[in-house]
Amino acid sequence: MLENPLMAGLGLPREPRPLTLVIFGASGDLTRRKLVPALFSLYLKGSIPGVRVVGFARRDWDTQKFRALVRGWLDSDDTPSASAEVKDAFASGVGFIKSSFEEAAGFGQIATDFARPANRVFYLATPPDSYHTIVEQLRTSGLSSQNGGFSRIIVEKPIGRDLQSARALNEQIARAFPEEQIYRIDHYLGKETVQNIMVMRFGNGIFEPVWNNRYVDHVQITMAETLGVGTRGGYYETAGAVRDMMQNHMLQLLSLVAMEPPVDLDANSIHEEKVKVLKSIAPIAGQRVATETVRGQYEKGIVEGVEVPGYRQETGVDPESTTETFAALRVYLESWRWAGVPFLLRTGKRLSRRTTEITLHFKRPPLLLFAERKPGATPPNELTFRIQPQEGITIGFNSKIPGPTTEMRTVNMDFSYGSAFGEELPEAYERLLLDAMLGDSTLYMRKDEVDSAWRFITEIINGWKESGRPAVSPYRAGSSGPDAAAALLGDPGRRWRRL
Amino acid sequence: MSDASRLPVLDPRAIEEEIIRIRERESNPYSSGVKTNIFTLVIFRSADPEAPGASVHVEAALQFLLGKRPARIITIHQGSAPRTEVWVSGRCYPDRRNRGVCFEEVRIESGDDGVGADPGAWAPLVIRDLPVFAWMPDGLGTAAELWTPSLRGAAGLIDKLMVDSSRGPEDRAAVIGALGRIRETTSDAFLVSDFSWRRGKVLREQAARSFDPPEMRGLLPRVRSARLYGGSRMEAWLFFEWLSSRLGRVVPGEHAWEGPLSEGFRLTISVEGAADVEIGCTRGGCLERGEEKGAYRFPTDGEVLLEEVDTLARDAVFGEVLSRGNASS
Repeated sequence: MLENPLMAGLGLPREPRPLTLVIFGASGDLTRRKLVPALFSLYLKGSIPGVRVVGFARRDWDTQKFRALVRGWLDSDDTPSASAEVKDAFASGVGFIKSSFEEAAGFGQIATDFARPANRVFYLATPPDSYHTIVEQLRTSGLSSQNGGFSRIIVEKPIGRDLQSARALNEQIARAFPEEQIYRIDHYLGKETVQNIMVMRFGNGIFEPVWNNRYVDHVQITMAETLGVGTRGGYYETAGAVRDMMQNHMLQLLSLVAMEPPVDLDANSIHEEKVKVLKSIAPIAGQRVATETVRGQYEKGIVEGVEVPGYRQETGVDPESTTETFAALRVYLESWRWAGVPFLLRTGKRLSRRTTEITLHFKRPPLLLFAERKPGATPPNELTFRIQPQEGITIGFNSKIPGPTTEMRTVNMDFSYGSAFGEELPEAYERLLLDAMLGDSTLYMRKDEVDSAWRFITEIINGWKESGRPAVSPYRAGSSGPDAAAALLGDPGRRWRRL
Repeated sequence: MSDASRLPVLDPRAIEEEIIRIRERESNPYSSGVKTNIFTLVIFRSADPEAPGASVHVEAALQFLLGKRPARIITIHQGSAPRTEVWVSGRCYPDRRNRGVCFEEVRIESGDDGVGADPGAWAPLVIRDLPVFAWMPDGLGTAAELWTPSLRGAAGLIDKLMVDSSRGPEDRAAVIGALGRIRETTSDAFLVSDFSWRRGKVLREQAARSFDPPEMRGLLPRVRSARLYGGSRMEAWLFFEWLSSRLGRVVPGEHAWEGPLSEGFRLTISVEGAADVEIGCTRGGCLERGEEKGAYRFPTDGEVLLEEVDTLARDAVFGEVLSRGNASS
């Protein structure tokens, strides 16, 4: 193809080819709170000039009603500000199809009423139990085939609830869409600070040399929430912390922090390296679940100054429930780089503080020159990625306390993402939606990533089921989780990071 | 903004002490502390900043930057007093976590003694180890005449000079000549960027995208001429020169109407044996490119300034366009 010399030096963000984006579940919360603001933000930036948005839902709405609703959503605080003229222009461009997912006619309407642009992206913003029906309809109506244009599908988590169901779902989607047309979303991967992990590691020369078992004692990954299950009690009863957070977000963070440098920044190269990490995780199966995992459940307590009920008192929750709202794992990677380094993962609800972070705890200096008289006075160095809130990076190191002695204390070298940049970070969905439209799956999960993650998690779940161990330890809402989690640390010199 | 403290002498140490004192006072309301500076911006004014209306665009741009990038701002202008005078002030704006994002501001009014214009006056005030941006926000011809000696003496200190070739009464030849003189006398020691070039990106971007589909690329050798309604004279000239430069031949351009791009524009590119390529934008920011419609937010001077202080890379295409201009003028 002829080169376009006008493009040289413009450094333009890539622009998707004209396409129709069909959102299944257009009447839902996800569409209103995340998808429409993200699409509008992209529209404002001029990133999606040829994109037509079509809502698909069973609600008794028509196009005019949907446009009016979208126009109203654009006035919410979550949406970027713009002139009324621009908001009107965006809203007047959206289309709507009223149909249930079982009606073939609704899917036929996509092909007839929205024939152009022929490139299509389908977004499943529905509960997972609708995936089967929608995918099947897309297949039988021919919409999943790439005749005259591309056809892609974006699937929200959860992708299954164990290895077997994830495989079944993936197989079913695969009957309609080949792997390269499937985009499995984990919105965590769209976060700026998560993407910054790779930039930090591979865009700087000073970290990678110490990023291995020679210098790293252990790694902690924490995803702590102050929220309880809220109105999701019914769902949470069937999921639990391990399925809800570990299988996806936490293992994705683990793979990013532990992966080898990719040969390129293209999607496949990065997926390859992430999958290698997931495949290298030493299984925790059978009796090992008792020593390598901890599970807990919150009881009533005070969180952020408010008294909150225990998990068993939440709406939709069995009063005798043993579903874990806290989970901690000690994970080892069987790789040259990480052999012998424990990765300590913990996640929980109703903890004392909301935080997501990854900390590399480095080994102590080989000779403790300055700690002779006070053993333990040389705390190890730590490097922390704060994913949220207060996104940034902190390095803890020791410094001499002024005075005639050589006493020292830990001080922090702190980079706060906001210390240089004052503006809001872009929403994860904005980047992810644009990538899917562009055909870039780097920040999505590949089938074998999901598969490997579920294989590991399913063995733990089965181990819990079979052995009943470890018992679910209660913890007070507003605390740091069950005391039992300390057992995973192993070395008496290690401590969980304070929440 | 704090009241400016007038200092009797241009003593860097006294200025630094005053900056610390003001910073502590200004940051007091912010419970989460203040952010650290990430660059120094040296503003060379050729207009009297106190003259009515002379500082509106500069102040608007700085106001946009305030709250987004903490920085030290040094403003230098030629005053009429016998002796150089200096004022120190500060202002902060809270970010979403109530951390103060602050400007440390030093204003130097160079007197008849010429002290303030000398690089020795302001060079010790730039923050070491951080990028230094110089900005000439007024007419370029006058500014270049006034400040080139100062730039020459401190060329190694500056990472990038930002100008706005659309400002001021100068004609194209004067602007191109001024830029050429600056680059020559400073031995190309720093990057040069132009706000007009960045504002005109919408024209280049949309033209490039219009010819990007495979079926359109074949038409590029048949591009005959271009006509632009809207934009300043310099923005139009830069666009036509860019088009010629990229296509490797002279493409005649007609600037049919002058006005800010943000008020709307229409660009027509004539192609031999094919329909004209039409690109338009209205004042509200709605963009039309052929049959496609979208939105476009015209950058304000503040947004352009933000983008400039976030970028430290040579724009080779801009360099080519300037070289063409130098050769033809």
